[in-house]
Amino acid sequence: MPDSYKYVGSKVQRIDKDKVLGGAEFAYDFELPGMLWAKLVGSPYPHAKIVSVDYSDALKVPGVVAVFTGEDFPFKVGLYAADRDVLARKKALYYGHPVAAVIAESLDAAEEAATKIQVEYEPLPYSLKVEDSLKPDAPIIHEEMHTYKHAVFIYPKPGTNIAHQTKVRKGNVEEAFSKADVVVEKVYREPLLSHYYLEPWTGIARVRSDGTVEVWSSHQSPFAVRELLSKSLSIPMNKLVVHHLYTGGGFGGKAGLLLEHLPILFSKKLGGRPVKLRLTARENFFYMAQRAGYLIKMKTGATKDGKLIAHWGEYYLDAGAYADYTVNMARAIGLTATGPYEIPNIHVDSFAVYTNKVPTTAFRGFTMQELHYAFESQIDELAHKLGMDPAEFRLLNVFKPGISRTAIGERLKEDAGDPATPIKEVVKMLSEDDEKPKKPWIVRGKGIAAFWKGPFQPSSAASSAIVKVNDDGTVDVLVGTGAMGQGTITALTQIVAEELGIPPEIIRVSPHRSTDMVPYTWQTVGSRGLFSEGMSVIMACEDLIEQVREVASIVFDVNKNMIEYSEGKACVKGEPWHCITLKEAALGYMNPKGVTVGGPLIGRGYYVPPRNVLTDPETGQVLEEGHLAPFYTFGAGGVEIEINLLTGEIKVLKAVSVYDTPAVNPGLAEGQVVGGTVMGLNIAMRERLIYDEEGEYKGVFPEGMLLNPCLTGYLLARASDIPEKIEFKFLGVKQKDAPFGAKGIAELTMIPWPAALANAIYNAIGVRITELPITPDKLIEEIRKQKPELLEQAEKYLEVNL
Amino acid sequence: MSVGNTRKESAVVLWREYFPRYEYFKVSSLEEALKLKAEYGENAYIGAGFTCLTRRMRAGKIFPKYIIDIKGVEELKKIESNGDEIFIGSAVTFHELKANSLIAEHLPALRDAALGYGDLELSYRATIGGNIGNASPQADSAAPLLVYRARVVLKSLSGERELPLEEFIVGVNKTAIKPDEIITGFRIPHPPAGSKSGYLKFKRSAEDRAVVGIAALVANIKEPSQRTVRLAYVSIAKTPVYLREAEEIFKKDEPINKLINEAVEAAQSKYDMPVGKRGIDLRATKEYRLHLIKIGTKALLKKLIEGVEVL
Ligand SMILES: Cc1cc2nc3c(=O)[nH]c(=O)nc-3n(C[C@H](O)[C@H](O)[C@H](O)COP(=O)(O)OP(=O)(O)OC[C@H]3O[C@@H](n4cnc5c(N)ncnc54)[C@H](O)[C@@H]3O)c2cc1C
Repeated sequence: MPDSYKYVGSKVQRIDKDKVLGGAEFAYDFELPGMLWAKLVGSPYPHAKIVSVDYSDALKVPGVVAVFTGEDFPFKVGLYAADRDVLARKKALYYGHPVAAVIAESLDAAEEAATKIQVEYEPLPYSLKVEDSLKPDAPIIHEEMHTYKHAVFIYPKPGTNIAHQTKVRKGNVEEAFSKADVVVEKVYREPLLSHYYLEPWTGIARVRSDGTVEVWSSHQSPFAVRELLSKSLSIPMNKLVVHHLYTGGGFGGKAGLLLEHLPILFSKKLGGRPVKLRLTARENFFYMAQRAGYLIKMKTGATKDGKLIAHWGEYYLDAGAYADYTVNMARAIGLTATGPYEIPNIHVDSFAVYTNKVPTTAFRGFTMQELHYAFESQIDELAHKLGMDPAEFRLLNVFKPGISRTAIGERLKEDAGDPATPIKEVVKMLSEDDEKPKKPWIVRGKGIAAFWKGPFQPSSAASSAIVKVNDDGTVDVLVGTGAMGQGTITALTQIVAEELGIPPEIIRVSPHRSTDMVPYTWQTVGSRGLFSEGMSVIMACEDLIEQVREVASIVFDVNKNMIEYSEGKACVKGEPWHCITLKEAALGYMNPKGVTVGGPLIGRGYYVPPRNVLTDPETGQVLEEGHLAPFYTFGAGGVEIEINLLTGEIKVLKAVSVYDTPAVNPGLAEGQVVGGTVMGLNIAMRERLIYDEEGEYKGVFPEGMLLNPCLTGYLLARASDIPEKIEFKFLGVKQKDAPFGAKGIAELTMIPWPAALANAIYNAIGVRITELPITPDKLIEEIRKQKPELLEQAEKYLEVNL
Repeated sequence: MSVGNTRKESAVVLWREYFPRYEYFKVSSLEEALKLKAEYGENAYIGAGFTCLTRRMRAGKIFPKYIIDIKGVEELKKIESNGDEIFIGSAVTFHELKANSLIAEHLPALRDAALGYGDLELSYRATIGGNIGNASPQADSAAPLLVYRARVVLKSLSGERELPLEEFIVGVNKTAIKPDEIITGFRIPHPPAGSKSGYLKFKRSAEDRAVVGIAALVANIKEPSQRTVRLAYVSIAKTPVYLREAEEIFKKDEPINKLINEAVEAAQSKYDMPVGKRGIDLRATKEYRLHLIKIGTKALLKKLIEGVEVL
């Protein structure tokens, strides 16, 4: 492939602007004739036996069609671990757990009736903390775990609250620690988080007269929704159509099985009438899954000369009441174990642990932000203990593609990327200006973090694409990847334009995907969309070009290898007057005598990761030479901050990041970088779902309730919180089997920030923060514990001179 | 690990999209509004900017049957001075407070509060009357109004009365207003000649309500007997706090930093954010709020006394 392209690599303007212009249609707004509304009611206890449900009064409300409870649906649904009740059955597992649903002709009637449902409970002991769930006398949240279906690589522990455990064993850790000159042992924590996508989850379902179940919903991955519904509800896939509209954000929270099964099951019981379930923003906090909390214990050892030699870890994910997707996240963090560094001796266990909190699921970064927050803090501490420059220390240990083996024994390919250069670049970008703050109670610091990530997917995760030429020579592209605003539509258009040598204006990638109309793709997750769909589209274009060449070779009666394709036409070599254009060949080429050669042009392409393999359950090592993911993107991020020692407030002056990959569309990539930086920094500084883990709010709030299910309590970044300087670079290091050499970036852009921030704080004042978010109150508390003299000095500047 | 109640109970939690139905009156004169208030009393809510009213309705906390929209009443939008007192109409928005020259010249602490209001877009709607009428523990304008000794002007068909702000706000979202009354505005004596005043607000993000808000007014600082120091706080207790003790503390002829420390301690003792580590509003820990009372009071007084800006 040439190094300069016509369309790929340039800032083609975003094609799909419907969202910004208010013209996008969302499931939230979608209605069908004769549609019914569903309303859920939740448990007021974090853990309670459901003794009885009385909905006789609810049924009397005019317009009410039915009320359903858990007993109406006596089976479980789920993907990696089918642990979820349709509606709570026998027990409610968290505050807000849906226990019943009202279906009515109008939303008003449904809500009115919902107030009249009476449920009798018997409260049970509950656990709001991983530590509590692991105690021998802990209340068991899923007593019937032994009966749950789960994926082959998930290892639940029935009789406990452990939904999954991943083990990674390599070398001899004990021996290695005894040889280590420095050891750092710490515990890191992150709270549960909300994805806070703007469109609350909504689903509408109906059953057609031929028995086809149709569902329109707010999701990331139409085919994953179909697979899960088909398995969970035993509906054959040809009788199940999932419609993908524009999705108002997902960030992982709309991957996997959401709540589609509810309107489907309701509709099935009501003669197929369409049923809509639309969550309010507040309900979305309780009925949809959130991001797990993290408790990460790490011990890492290095030698005097700066070599990492041993790592031990226990990584716990607080999975909440349902761990369907979080079990696979526990697997991801375990298998990635040590960040982008080669360590010969590793002993890591990772767990997904049930608690009586809201259920949890995937989140942008799929545990990599959390892993790197902990691991990059360890690295920083070790460097300081060794008296080494933190960047130098990283460079000594970072993976060397073609040589290094990862924690799971995977040998990185020669062209896997460039883990080292981003670290060097970030250091350079940070140190360009070295101004001192003017006020003595304000101190500056810089911190960096390296990172890597690939898509965590089943080894067989496939994608496919269809490229069709229309009668007028324009092109339609069909793919199955979701459109949530990430920019795939524009980037895929660029790739098709480049491949076929035609202008982007005559290509259309449809934003809507129905599973019966577009080709399969596994999921829209893991920063894999452009990579996997890009590969599929390239193959589809090549297929199409072959077809045009075939036609031309017949028409001009020459050998096919005499036909060259470029710029939208197939010509005989050296005879530019003997050409057939895409338009002429679109439906088959008709010669002057009326004879038609070929037929409608449809190119087909697919992508399946080559040599992706599974890992051994006891050691976490790859079962044979192969890979966990089809690509890994490497990078580093850094921040320069100012800390106000009086208030504990942190101002991010500059946030820089570097990625080893090229960008198919640098403009859209910039959008990802800015968005990811803002999100990552806000997670570092503000976001948390608050539970009363210590029992301080008893008698004030209902027990076990999520305390801040709204935007005044859950702080998203506001415009004025965005750092003024966000700088970035794409290095353009190409992977051979990647679309134009490009790897995924979407999640990568949010990974390094909490680690970089914590390291910058340490760099500035020697205070180590091991728990997110780093709010001003926490920072002041930690300064008071670790460096009280700093506070005392700063407060002297407040004395009044009269 | 906690053990729940062993009592059996019949209940569910429910979050509704439902919005109370109400009858809406858009009035163009105070007279009209007062008549409606006289007729409907408690069932009629005044709406000015609606930034709190609609939120509380959506949260199912209030269910107005009637809403009287006073946004368009010109006489409630005045800011004027008669030489002794400044009158601020209740329907004056935070944006108008920011932009007004009388406020900038005479009531800088109120201007600071308007500048610090938590949402730029909403500052064009949110009014000072609504801010006080809502009586939230975080009401930014309350602290400056307290140090300026503002009186709330209340009107009904049967007449007008005035209440000091301290007596007007009686609890979380509770005021001493009568069912037929409307806040027409605030009367504020011109601050003492040569006085300096300001408001300092701490927040969790660039746009947020106060974690702690502090207003101060300082005059004749050099002469203890003549000295005036007034301090008021929001977001440290269930209602805004006027620190009456400060008036006496600063009259003492002792080193100023000692007096400031004394005032800080007095203010800290007013902390009353009901329960839990972070206070009922979850905004910050108690320790941190006490810390901010200290840091903020000192920084604000230093700025007003020395002209040195620390925070
Ligand atoms: C995003 C957001 C950010 C906010 N940030 C801040 C902030 O930084 N600081 C802050 O202090 N507040 C803040 N608030 C709260 C609110 O905006 C303010 O309290 C505002 O001043 C209320 O004014 P309003 O005109 O909108 O009141 P409304 O909502 O119209 O009314 C509020 C209450 O006062 C009553 N009322 C209004 N006017 C009168 C009157 N003339 N006579 C009698 N009763 C009356 C109403 O009946 C109602 O009970 C914020 C709110 C939001 C939604």
